[in-house]
Amino acid sequence: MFRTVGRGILWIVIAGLTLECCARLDDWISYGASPFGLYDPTVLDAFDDLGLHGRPHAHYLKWRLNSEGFRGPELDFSAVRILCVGSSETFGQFESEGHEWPRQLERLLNEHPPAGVHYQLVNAGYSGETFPTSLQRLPARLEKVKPRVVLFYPSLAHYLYPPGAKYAGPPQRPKFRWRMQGRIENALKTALPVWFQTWLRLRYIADAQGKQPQLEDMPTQVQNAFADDLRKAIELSQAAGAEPVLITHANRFKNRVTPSERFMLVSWNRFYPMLREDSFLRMEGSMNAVMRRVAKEKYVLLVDAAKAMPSGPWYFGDFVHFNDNGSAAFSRIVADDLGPRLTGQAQAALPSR
Amino acid sequence: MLFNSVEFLVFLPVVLAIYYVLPHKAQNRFLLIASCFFYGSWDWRFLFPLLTSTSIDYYCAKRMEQQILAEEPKERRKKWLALSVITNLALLGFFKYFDFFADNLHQLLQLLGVSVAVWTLRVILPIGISFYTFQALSYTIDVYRGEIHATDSFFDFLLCVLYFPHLVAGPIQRANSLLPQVTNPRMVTAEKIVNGLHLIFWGYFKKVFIADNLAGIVSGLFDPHRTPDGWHSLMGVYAFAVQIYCDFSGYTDIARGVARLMGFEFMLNFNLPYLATNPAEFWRRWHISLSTWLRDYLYISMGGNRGGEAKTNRNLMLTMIIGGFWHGAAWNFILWGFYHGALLVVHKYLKPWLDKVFSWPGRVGQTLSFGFLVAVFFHFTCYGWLLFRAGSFAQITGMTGSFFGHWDVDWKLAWQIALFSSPLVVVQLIQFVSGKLEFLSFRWIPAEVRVAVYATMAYFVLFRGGAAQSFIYFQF
Repeated sequence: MFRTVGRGILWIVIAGLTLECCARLDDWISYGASPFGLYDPTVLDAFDDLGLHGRPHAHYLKWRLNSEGFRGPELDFSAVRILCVGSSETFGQFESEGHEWPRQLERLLNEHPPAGVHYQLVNAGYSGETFPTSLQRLPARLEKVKPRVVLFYPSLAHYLYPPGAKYAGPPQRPKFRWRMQGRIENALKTALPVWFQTWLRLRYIADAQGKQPQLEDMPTQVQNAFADDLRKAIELSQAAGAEPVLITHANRFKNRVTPSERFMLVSWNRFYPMLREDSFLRMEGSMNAVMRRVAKEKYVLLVDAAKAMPSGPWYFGDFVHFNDNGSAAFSRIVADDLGPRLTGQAQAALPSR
Repeated sequence: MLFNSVEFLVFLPVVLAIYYVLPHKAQNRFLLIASCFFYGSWDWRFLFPLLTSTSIDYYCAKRMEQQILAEEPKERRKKWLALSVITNLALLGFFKYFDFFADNLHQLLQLLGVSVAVWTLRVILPIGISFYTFQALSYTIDVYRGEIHATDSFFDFLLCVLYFPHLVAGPIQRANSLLPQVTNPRMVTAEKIVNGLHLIFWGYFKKVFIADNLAGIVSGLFDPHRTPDGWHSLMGVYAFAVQIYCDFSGYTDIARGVARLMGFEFMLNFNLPYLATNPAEFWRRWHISLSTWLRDYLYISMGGNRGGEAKTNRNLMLTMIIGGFWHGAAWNFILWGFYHGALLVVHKYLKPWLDKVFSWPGRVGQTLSFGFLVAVFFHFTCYGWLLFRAGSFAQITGMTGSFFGHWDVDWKLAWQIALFSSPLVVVQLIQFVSGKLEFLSFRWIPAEVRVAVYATMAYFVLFRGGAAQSFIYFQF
């Protein structure tokens, strides 16, 4: 009996170690990741006084960061540079490498550029970076990148968290993590039926909502704070000689959530349990209205992607993040509005400021 | 409900858990319900044609059995056999071939300058209809021939046809093998369970890691919009040869393994087919349940090799063409059947010469001649796969022509195909040299090493499988 149990335990250990070795070898062969040490999404993260940003030269799966910690190639000072400011929607989550919207927009703009002009889109978006934080980083980025245009595509729901929440410093990274852990978690997530995942999320939301009041819309004072941030972003850009462009925020549902798509709304709600499930589209509408108002007030170009962007799973990997098709459609919408403006500018400008 | 779906991975343990605690008769009734659920999960309406043909086959077989017992002349049984055959073929023809004939008639009339609107059905093909039709037919033909007795229990016969592991893509089980397993109590031993799990495991590996990963490469190389060159055409047929084998034999292994977990034993459907040295041997190794069905119920019924050389050749060609057409209602399947029929006929004449030329002396000589013949015949098989996979005649001629034109060598592509195919090559060599197909059960390998091998395979199945594809043979 003792012997059988011992043998069973030995087999489990051998199977576990073999799986872990396979995972490490797979990462090494497929992505050039060292078989030793940590290899998970946090290898992309770096921290400073303002919080999270991209780690220079980091590489994880399809995500490659340049020496500035931006996703994409190194800065090309011979090109006309366009800085993209945003969050995970800009950084790119579901798109395959080279298909995040800044790269796709770059290709579109370079299809028929004015003579002697080449555009480079600098993707300064980073997952989890809020617009107020982006704003704090903006002067340094403007100084470094020296862009001709700055595209602002802020993530609106971030404003649901209390303003001025103090950054508590970088989280403790474990010294060791089983690489099979993430794989098994993902496999389980894929394998679990959607209705079950939704049920789990609803339970989580209900628990979280028990602890805080539920919002029916973005509070007016937060909308005003957002308007102030947008004004500040515009002023900073203009002061640095760059043209600011505001892009309204698109989502998977546009104006209504179909019953078959509700699971995705619940999954969005899980990240922001302080907002009622039926209030997400209202919140998006209010915040986009703020963007339209500020663009009009400040006479800056507004790309109304929220209105122009088609909805549904063909374009979105989840509730707000594009897939390859979505990025392509979004880039086309931005290019249609931005292209003529750039052509006009290029008549009078040199490639590099 | 595909074998490679999460639903099936939940369905199977639940079925097994209930099955093991039931007595024999209740097991059969429960399996019938589970099989109806399995099949109905695609579309419950698919159950109607199946139940219709099965009921008629059961009734016809019963009437024939009564006539046999009454010692009535064989001629009288013919009408019941005819009713069964016509019902089955009519259903098959209606669902699978009606649109093909209607479309071709339309095109023919257009060629003749007659403009007629031809009515097509555009109905969904019930999954597995080709498989269960042949299986039901084998039952009534065997009863007609007096080779088996008709069963008294409709539900037992229904379970024979509906039993979920073989229902949608075979192996095509004969009633004389499956019916006794249904009617008699089955033994489930620990050894059977272990062997069954080995088969299931290897089947999933072939399907999910090898076939599904190659599926993407094959789709790209057989893209009708690409201009083919010799190298890419060759890589395309190599990759498809491995893909279709791993896809179909993977399904069969899972089916056999699942059946074994319940104490059933299914016939072997693949026996290292790419190690065949000639077409006759290939068809003794590839899709054995179909090739033996065609031999026993079609070739022999047409006269087989009795009646002279010309008739034998005609019977061979017709059997293979019908076999090709069984795969799908399209001209390229007919062409594929014709091609294999021609290979069989030509090989029959060349055999004495080949035996003489390739009887190289000594062990090394034998190995070399064997290897040479395997390599040559593998390429003949691969050309057959080109006919099978191509989407149009233009693609067949384009890819065939490309072999004699420009070759744009791409080693990266070859490496990719070799990488996914290499586990199969290694395993097939082990199976061939050891003479044992169930290589995962080798006792001489220490258990700890086997655990590591299983874990490695599990990793590739779970985390490195290609995008989930339906089984190729489901469309047939």
